Amino acid sequence: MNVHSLIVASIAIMLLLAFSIVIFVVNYQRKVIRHQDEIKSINEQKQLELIQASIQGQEEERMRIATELHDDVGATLSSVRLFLHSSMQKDADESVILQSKQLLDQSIRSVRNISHKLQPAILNQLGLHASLESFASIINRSSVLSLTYRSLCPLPKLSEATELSVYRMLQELTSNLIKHSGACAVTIESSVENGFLQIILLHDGQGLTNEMYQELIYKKGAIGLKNIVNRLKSINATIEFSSEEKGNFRICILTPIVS
Amino acid sequence: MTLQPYIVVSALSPLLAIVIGIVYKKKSLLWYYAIADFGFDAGIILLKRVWKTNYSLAGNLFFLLEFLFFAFAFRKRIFRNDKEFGLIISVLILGYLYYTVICHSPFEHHLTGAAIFFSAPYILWCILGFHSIMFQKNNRIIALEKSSFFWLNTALILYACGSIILFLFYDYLTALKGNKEFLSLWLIVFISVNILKNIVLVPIVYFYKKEEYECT
Repeated sequence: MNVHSLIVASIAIMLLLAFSIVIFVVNYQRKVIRHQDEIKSINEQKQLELIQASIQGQEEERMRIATELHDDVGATLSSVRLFLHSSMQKDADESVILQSKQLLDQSIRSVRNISHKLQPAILNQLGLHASLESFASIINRSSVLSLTYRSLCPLPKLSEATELSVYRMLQELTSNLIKHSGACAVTIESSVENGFLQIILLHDGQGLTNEMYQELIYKKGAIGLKNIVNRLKSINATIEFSSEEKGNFRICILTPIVS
Repeated sequence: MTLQPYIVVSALSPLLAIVIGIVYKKKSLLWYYAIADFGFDAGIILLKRVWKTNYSLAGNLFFLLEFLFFAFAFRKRIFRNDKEFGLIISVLILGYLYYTVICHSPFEHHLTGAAIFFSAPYILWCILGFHSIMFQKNNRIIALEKSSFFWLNTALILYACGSIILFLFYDYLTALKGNKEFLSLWLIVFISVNILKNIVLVPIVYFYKKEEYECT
């Protein structure tokens, strides 16, 4: 091979290299754009599922209230109406009036129960700490599992939205633990650190890791978890699932303190 | 075979970018480079063919000017600060001047200096430029076909890769007597990469955005 051929070959190789670099950059950029499009589409899908879960949650709650109103309060008030109607036709019968009064008391209790389920009164009146103590005692009374609640420091008064969201998330998580984890003992600890409220839920059942949680919220179903995601978003909070030593699992909710 | 038409086409090739800059009012640094390129190419033709005088000084000066244009175009994209930019550019210019003026003569055509001190850095800058495009801050994605900086890197890497070997062997080839055919081939290849670079100047000028040259 003479020098001339070598020069021509070198030029050709250099130009080929230059073209290769340009093509590599173009292909790389295309790949990145494709990847970003995929992420965008997954996020949109996730958003859609969260909205659907939120709507489904609302619908289920409405259905529950409708059922309770119809089957319980409605039926009781119909009975009261019948009693009152019959008491109008006969001479005043004290037992009928008394029965009507009892039925009305029952209806009032039912309405109060429904109202409490919608918005726990104790949360508004006494705050998150007392509500969680009350929640623990309700769970312990059911003997399904042993729930211990302790606060490592006095909790500040938080905004209504934050307190309700934290309370609802703990309700949902505990309900999930009862249904799916087979846990016997659960401990909820609350503390305040660097302007954040930290709630740690420790349990001895079969728990989730962050990866499993991410997988579940992208899957269809898991409405409870998707509602948790919605609530976390609404108060700018984060959740972390991890496994501890001795086979225990830990769920940590971190939320900024907004009074 | 006469190469005159190719030389004229090569000299006229920056005109498209100049017209685009005027029509769309995009008078950037690289638009001025297109004017300089056109001016020098046309000037060299006049010196060589019409006045039949020595054009080597103009050619050597143009390489220096061209280097400054490209260096300033890359300044904020690949150099960390003005001190680094100043130091590197000074070293390269001094190296070129030493090779061209002291080792040889500015009135002679010696392209090895341009290959070592200009074409080689161009290739390196383009690689760094492409890297800065691929890994932008904040994971920003840009549309390459509308990126003036991407087109600048493309034009320059093709021009530099094509010309570096030509420039390196220019002295060797001119030293050989009776090598006219190969010198013609040399000129054809150089004119081709030069025309290619000047055509790519069109998207460089058209899509120019100041901020694209000022941040990574």
